[in-house]
Amino acid sequence: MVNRRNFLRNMGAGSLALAPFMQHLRAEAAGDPAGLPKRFVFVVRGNGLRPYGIVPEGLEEFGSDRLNLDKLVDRPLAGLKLNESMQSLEPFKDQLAIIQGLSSKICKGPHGGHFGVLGAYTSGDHAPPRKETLDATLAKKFPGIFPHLAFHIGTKSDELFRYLDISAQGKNTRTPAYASAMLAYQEIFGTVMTGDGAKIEAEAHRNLMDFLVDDVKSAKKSLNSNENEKLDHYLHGFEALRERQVKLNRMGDSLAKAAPALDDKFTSEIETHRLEAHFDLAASSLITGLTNVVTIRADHLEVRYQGFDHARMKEISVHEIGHTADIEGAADRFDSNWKQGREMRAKIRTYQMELISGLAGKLKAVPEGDGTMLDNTVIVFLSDAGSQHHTGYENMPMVVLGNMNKALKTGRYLHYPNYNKAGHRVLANFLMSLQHGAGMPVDDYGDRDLGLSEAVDQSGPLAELMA
Amino acid sequence: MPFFSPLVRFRSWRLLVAATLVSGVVSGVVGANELKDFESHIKPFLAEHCYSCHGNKKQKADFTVHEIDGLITNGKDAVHWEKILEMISLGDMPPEDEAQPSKLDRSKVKGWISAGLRKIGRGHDPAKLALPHQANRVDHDDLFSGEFQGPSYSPPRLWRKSPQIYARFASEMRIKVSQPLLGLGGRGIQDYASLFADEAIIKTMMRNSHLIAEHMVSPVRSHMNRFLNGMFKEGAQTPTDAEIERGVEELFKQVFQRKPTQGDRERYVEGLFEKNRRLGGLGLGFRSLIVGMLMSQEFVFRMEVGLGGEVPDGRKMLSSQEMAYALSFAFYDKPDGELLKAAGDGKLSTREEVGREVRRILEQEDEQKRYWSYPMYHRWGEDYYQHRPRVLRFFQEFFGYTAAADVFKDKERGAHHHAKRLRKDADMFVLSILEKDQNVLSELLTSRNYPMDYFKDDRMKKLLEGNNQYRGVAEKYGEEFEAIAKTGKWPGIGTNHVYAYNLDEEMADAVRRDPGDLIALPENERAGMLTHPAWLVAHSANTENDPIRRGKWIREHLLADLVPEVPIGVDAKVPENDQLTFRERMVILREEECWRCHKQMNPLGEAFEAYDDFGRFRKEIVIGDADKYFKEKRRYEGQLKNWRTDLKKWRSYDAKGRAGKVAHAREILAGLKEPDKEVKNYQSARRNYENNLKRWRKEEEHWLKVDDVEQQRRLADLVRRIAGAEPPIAVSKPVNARGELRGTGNPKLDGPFENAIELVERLARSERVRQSFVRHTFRYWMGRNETLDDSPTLIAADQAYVKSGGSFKALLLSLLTSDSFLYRRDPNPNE
Repeated sequence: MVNRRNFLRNMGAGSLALAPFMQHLRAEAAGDPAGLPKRFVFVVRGNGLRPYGIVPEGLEEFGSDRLNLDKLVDRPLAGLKLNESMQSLEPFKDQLAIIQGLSSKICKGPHGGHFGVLGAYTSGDHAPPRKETLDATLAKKFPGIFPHLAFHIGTKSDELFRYLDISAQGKNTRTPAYASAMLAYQEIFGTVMTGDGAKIEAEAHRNLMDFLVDDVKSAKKSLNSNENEKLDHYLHGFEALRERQVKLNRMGDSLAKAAPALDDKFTSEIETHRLEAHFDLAASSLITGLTNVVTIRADHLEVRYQGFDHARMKEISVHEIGHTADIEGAADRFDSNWKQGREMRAKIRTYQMELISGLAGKLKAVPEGDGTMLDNTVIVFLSDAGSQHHTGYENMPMVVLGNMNKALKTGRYLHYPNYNKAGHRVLANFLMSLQHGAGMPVDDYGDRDLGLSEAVDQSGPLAELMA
Repeated sequence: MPFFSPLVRFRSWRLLVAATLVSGVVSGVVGANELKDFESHIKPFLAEHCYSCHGNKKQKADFTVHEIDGLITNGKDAVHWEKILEMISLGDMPPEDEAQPSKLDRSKVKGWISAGLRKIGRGHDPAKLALPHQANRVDHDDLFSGEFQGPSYSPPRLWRKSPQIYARFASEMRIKVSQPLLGLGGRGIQDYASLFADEAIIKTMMRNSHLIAEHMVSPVRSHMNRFLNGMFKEGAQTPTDAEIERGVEELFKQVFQRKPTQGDRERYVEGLFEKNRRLGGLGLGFRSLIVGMLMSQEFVFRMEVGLGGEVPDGRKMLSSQEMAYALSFAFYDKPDGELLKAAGDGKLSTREEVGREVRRILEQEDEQKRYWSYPMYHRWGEDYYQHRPRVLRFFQEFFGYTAAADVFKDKERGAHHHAKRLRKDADMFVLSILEKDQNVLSELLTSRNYPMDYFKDDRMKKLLEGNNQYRGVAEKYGEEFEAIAKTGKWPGIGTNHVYAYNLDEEMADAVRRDPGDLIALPENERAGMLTHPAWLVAHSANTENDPIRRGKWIREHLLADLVPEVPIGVDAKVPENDQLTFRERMVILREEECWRCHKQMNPLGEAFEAYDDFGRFRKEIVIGDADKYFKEKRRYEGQLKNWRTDLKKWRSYDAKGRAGKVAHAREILAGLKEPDKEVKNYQSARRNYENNLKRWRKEEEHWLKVDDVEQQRRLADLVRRIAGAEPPIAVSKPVNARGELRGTGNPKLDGPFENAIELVERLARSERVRQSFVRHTFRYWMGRNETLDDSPTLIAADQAYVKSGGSFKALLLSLLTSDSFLYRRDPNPNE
């Protein structure tokens, strides 16, 4: 485990120019927790997060799809045993909030709201994003050397990159995500070398980037303004890369020390191994301050899980698991398929919760300010398909871990009243809560659900969640 | 300039904005002028056409305009103004049955509003208007009126290379790389000149370029690095200058298909290669040079600036080099050697020379016809068709049938379904029509001859014909081959998907014998692409048809129309009800507010209700547990067929052999029961069934407890009843595929129709449909939306198509030798 204090102490003089670190150091020295950066991790799965799979023991009634609730339910988690699939999160119970009943009917699409889930806007199937999503906004507010790191479970081991369908840096710009853990490792931790060889490589790289910047500039002369804009995108890309490399070089070998241990899972054929590597990379990047915002596409409909000891799961995709487990009618028949579907769902869910628990554990082990890094972090786990495979977006169940330096009131089970009942709230309200917690008091975010009556307040954060 | 100057012909929104801005500046204070214009011209327009429904008397759709703020730039009523602009632009308002403003008035009001909105950063987003599906905003009648004389040109531009061009290059380098580029996304045309490359793309390309560079300087020799790797072998001598020179020249040939110029020597060789070579040796020098080349704008973008000769009106022609690439990428995903040669020889700088090259390319026969005969079973790549791949891709993107593979279908519901095979069938359908090149569009819309694919190794057939050269395949296919040799029947590998065409066994076997042959389907069942299962599936939902999407497709692709987007806040879901067909459930859309838009789509899309969501023709629509019903029905039909065959066989036996057997078969045949679907009210029948079961189980429980003489009798009775109870399966209703065609501009074609066949036959006769097709062809090959300046190009292309008897080649030749393709000019030189 990386001990952050040792890590900071060991850093050479050359790395003093490193802004995020200095910011932490100063804040820590001054005993000013507000000066510490906030960290955000969004873990988004496909196929829906089933209500019955996240309710604590004793609250099973809230796990039903047919629940008709007209009053807010707010229970402390202390004293309750967490759901079977969430056992790994028991140690973090006081920093946990399980939230249900928020709707997001502005989302369309039978299998997921795409960019609309984190951006709170309507986004059609296969359509490019209309605007930036919240994770990207936060990344701009709390930039690291890599302002926004994103990972995608991918479908094949030789896949390098994938554009996310749930996160966007702006209009028409999908967030690129690493599918290959090895590539991510190389680009985040492997680009800095030390010694003479490194100096030469660095200078050669600089020459190359200068050449490319000149190449684009020379072409701009012969074009009109529209086409120049196209080249500007290209130019800015090079400039951003050049700048990042300079910063990374300054970090020198301290970066290499903080890197996660490189092992088989970084190149594994098995998707669960890759996902574990993604979580390792996320932890190391957050701990070193390379980034403050991570988005992880933990699974999607095309994934076929090879990593579980379950014969049927090796055969069918997550999409088919969804159909087997959730489709109406199947439940009435009570056939074995349906039970098997639920079993497969539970396996995936438990596994994802364990990954989240692992990440939280690593952050908790690194002291920061008066507490640990976890105190300044929030991990949000939800599905872009809400509560089931074919979703209607009436309930977007989620698990929130971390209280952002006591900005959120955690350790609770919150269930909002049903759609259009008094006191009902929308997912955008939760996204606004995050922004409030991050010191960005936004009270109007995204598209409004016009199907909701005036009685439902779609502005501002979730009062019940805010400390 | 007076506001309503008759001199102003608003040819594009840009010109219009410029004109309005100028008028504002000239008369001094912009705001005051704006308000004056509003009072004198806009308000009367609104009063005449809008107030009666959206004023103080009536407030239809909760929308009023009588108190709107005339000063758009105040921003207070920007949302209202945007709405008005959209309604006027699309011609959606005033409603058809009301008096219509003149075209000129409409366009002036439109121009005034959009200019005002643009000043405050609102209104139409230019990036959105540049998307292909927005191009229908340009009035169709204007485009083909002949009133607009051009001159036609495209803007000087950099067209980012397509994902296919990049993939093709990488595959020739024999290196597995990640695809950094994406098309436009969504359905429709993907490769458009408005695309750009940003940081995310650069990062991936950079990674790829480094991989390629590593490979090029590796000591392991390959086809691609053979001219470099000698320098990097162990113990290799320091190469001479001449050897290095040769290496650089070969690299230029490989990446840019040309020799390095003096400027290149300064920039690439001196500015990059030599610099880094001095730093870290020859390997680093070459690596940097290769990455530099692969990331250069010359490699990433297609240059179409117009470096050729200038004509008197200021337009510049593409240079012969630019032309060679423009033409190459019009047909292929890689530069064409002969075009580059023609350019190098100075034989590609006039319209005639371009025409000659286009003709040459179009006349090339697909001699190998690999596409038809190659066993495609294991190769479902995107790029399997390499004979003029971009031509086929146009039809794929125009019809959108390749999306069939993106629509998830439950295996339980349709075990036969194989989207990728259907997609290949549709590809072959297009190619078979292009091969004849007569009445292409009309054939595409109405042909009854469908090719169907299935996996068959042609070598098996050849071996069976006695060609022993192929004896290896006998071993390869083992038992399968033996079975074919013995029975003469081809196995059903991968033929299941043909059930989507409602083939009977005999026809299915014909497909197996000769895949790719055209199968004539019944006249009253299928006609053309829009009744092809691939198209139907691509335009369907997971479990049902999608008449709205289908109707929208026809409107936008064949009728040159634009359907407004789903208004935000509308929950686009049709209520569930298992007693009604989808069409019946969509009745809610006929309420006035929805119907205003949906009448443009539903009456067209509902024509395809005669097909289910797998594209199978049907006369009845089964509601309820349709899956189970079809499963049982298939089983029933299978049994029926088997026993009938047996019966036939046994009848032919002599009397002794057949004794008993015939009677047995007859008995079984008589006993076969067609699955029941004659339940009038599915829901109540289902409820009855469930209630009965519940009651009987309760009784059973009761009788089990009672020790009574009655017990045995009652229990036996119950067990029998429970075992005999069957849930109702389904209920069927006759198909209703009636609808109405509007908007062809031809009263003989517009009007109600009975079914999809009638609809497509009428569409195929429509002039407007043909011209709409020409417009899409234009967009695809020009990489941009048409403007009124392109009117001469479009008219000429349409005429070329008509005069040649519907030759797609003639249409393409006309487009690729048009001013719009050949010339470049900045549309807004002052901006």
